[in-house]
Amino acid sequence: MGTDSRKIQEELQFLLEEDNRVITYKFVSANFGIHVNDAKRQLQSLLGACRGRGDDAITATFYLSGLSEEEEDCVAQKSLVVSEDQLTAARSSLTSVTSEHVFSVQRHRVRDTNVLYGADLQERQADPAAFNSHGAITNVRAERLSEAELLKARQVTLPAAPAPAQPAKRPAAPAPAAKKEPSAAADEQPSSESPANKQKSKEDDHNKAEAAEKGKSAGKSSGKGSGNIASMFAKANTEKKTVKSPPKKAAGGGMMASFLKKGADQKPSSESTNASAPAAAAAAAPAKSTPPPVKSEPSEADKTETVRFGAKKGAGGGAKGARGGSARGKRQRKGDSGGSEPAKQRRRIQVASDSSESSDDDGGREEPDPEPEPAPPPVSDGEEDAQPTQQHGKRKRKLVTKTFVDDDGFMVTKKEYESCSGSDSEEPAAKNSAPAREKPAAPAPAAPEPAKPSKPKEAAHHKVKQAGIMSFFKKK
Amino acid sequence: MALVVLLFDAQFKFQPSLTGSMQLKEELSVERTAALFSYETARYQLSGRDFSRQFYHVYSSRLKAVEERLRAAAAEKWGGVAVVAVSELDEERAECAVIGTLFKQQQLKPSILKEISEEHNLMPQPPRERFISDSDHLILEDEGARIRLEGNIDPQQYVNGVVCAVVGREEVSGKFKVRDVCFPDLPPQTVDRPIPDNDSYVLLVSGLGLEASGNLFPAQLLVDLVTGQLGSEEEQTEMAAVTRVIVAGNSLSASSRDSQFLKRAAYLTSDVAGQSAAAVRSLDELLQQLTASCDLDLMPGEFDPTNHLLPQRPMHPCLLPKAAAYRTFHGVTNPYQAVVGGRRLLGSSGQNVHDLYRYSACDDPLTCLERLLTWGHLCPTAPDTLTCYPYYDKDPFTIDQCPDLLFAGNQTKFATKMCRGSQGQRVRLLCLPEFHRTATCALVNLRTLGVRRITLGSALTQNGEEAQPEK
Repeated sequence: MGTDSRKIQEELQFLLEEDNRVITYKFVSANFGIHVNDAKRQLQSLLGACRGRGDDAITATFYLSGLSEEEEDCVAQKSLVVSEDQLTAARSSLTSVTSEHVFSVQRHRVRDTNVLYGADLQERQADPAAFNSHGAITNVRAERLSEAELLKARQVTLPAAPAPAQPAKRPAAPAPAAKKEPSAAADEQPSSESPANKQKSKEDDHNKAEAAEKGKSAGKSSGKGSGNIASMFAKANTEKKTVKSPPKKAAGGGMMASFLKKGADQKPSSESTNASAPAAAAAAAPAKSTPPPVKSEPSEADKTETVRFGAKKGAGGGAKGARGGSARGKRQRKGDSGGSEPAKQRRRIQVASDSSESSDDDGGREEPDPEPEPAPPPVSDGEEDAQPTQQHGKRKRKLVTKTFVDDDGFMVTKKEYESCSGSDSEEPAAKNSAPAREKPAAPAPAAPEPAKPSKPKEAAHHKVKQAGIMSFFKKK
Repeated sequence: MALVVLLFDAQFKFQPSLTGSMQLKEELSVERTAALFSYETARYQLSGRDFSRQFYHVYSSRLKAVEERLRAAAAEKWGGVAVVAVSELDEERAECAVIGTLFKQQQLKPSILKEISEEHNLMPQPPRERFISDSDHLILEDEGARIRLEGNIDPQQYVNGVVCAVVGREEVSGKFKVRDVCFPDLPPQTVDRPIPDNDSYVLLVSGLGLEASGNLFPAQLLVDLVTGQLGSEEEQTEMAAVTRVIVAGNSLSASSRDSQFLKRAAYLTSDVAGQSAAAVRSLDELLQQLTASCDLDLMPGEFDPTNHLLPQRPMHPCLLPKAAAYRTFHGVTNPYQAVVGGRRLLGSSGQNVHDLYRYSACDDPLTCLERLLTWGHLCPTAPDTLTCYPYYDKDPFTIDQCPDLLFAGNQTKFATKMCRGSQGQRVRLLCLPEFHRTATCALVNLRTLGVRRITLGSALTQNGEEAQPEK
């Protein structure tokens, strides 16, 4: 032990002089693997040796602890780290001294506690457990948790049920969708990664059995960000689609995410259609029903809008054929005879634009449907209306009065049949966009799109006011 | 050479300090004292997340919980005075007593209506520290009706939500003239757990106030002291008797909250780490050293990353991965209640006492704490000015089990006092100051309920100035 002590002293001396290090007792303890009390003694002897050599450049700080004057109802203890010159003054401020030992030895004067703190910082952070392992107190109960327990502790989620969060999203969600919801919700909620991954992976394993569902959940998780859109969509579609297959609804979530981007782009252009863009997203989403196309669509959405629309069209066509019993399906089936892509595009817009007043749409669309058909279309408007009606069986024709100024400067009021769908505000938008889109017959999706965003905006802009009033009367 | 063989065993208490002259020596190794403990924090755990309820239920369950005790206390204090409901009061009655909840009508109380008065170009309310004014008055409400109180009752000594019984009579003006006030008696102290024979301690500290970059030296000193690194063998042995360390809130500083950081655009902050993240990391490193040696109860506070409303949930173990890896780490709720070594500890991170200070004329935190004990409720101002969860069938903040130690963290100064109840109960009140400001913590002896105030500091400058703020 004597030789060890000598070796330690030599090393310390080296560190002190060559490295110019602030040597704290903890550093000595951790570095040489000795008990803290032994380290303190080592430092003391180091200090003594230096002083003996007359090396005045070496300074030391001391730890002093003791009781000071008793105050009312409590005993006061002071624990101080003082420099050597303050030692006597500090000692006198205490009534009894409990401990006094060397805290650190260094070659320069220490003026700030940060120096003392920073001296050991590196070693402490490198291996905190080892740095503190030579203390005087042991504790058998202070053991590390096992891996399993650690994982469990980190997965502690709050006992609040996720149920309150659900109704906002999908009030009428069928069972499989509902099952997807909690899983996705549970996936999103835990903040820590590992629990989320764990639960997600659990869910994924469960879903692997149902391949279709899996894509759905992926789609839905991506769509989770637009949760409020989903809720709008959910409310909007509760009446419309009573028993929509879950994939469609869930697909909506995924679609919505991609559509939201597009919706955001379209926002300035279609802002006038009262929130039709987000509603459009919501409405457009159910147009895709089958999950696999849905799964591909969100991924494609990032490429180009046009490409995405193309994909949507493809899926939409198939989906529409499959669907039945809904107003939307009806309309689409009617218009599907044309089957051209402009028709589908137009259908999309129609669907999108109608969704803002979905329940009204339903009612409105049913009623005008029978009405214009028995009404004989005037020949003069045949040209204007024929094409729309040809391509969109769903288009009704309404009798509207048009007031315009003719060449002579006289105001002329004319009663005409305008083809429009049930919704007041959206019909003119859709109608105007329809003829606009027929001109570029080639269904290059890019072409109608610039026209389409602008058209609905302009069309809807002034149509909203008039058509609104007319359809109100028409319904009677 | 005389070899002195010293006997060691697990309960070793004292050893004369050595001057370093002995060559052969067994180094001191003391096992930390264990103490029986059990948490009673189940009452503070939020069970649901339904915020659609009104807060009326909290008040009504508060009144119901305390009503019986109040009746008994009133009967004892005022003899045969009849206890009536407010609606049954009338002027012809002789003196009678009424039980209800106090409502303090305060003009200066921040109100959302006044806040939105900015829209009407009215002066916005200036930021205030205290909201008391001379025009405040008290109203007593029970389930049926309310009546304004006057007389021998000072509005500035009370706050909203205190349940009490008042005796007096109704006056012609429709106000109730109070002769005396009475509060529920302290419940008896159930001492059915064995109180240890030896001294065992609990170390209480609050307001560590760690920032992303700050002076951590006093905190490190404290940790070294508790883990048995610092000090002579005598001190180390004493510290081995510390069974538990309770950190009472605000372990992160107010400045570490990232509110400004979050407002900036993400592209501006992509290379800058959040302040709170760095602060939490320092806290983790500090607490890891503690948990490696001692049981630690970490309470959240006002500035800690957890929910704001009371009761605050424990900080998630993921925030402190290194510290939470030990079995000795326990995240606990705020308020906190546990039985340690035969003593019941009840305390909070100080929000309740701050609220009392803001809405009453009570300046001294210790007096505020005493009032809370007298009124039998930990946070009477919840849910009025102190956000709390809208409970339906219970109010978990009523003090229905008499504590042995009632503490509040993050106060302006250290203060302690022994309170005595009418049935011989002894309650130690303790106000803990903020550690980052005062470097002071408290060591409570579980056997005697004596308190030792430990102040850490340094004196490194030439001219003898204290480098650390003292007291």
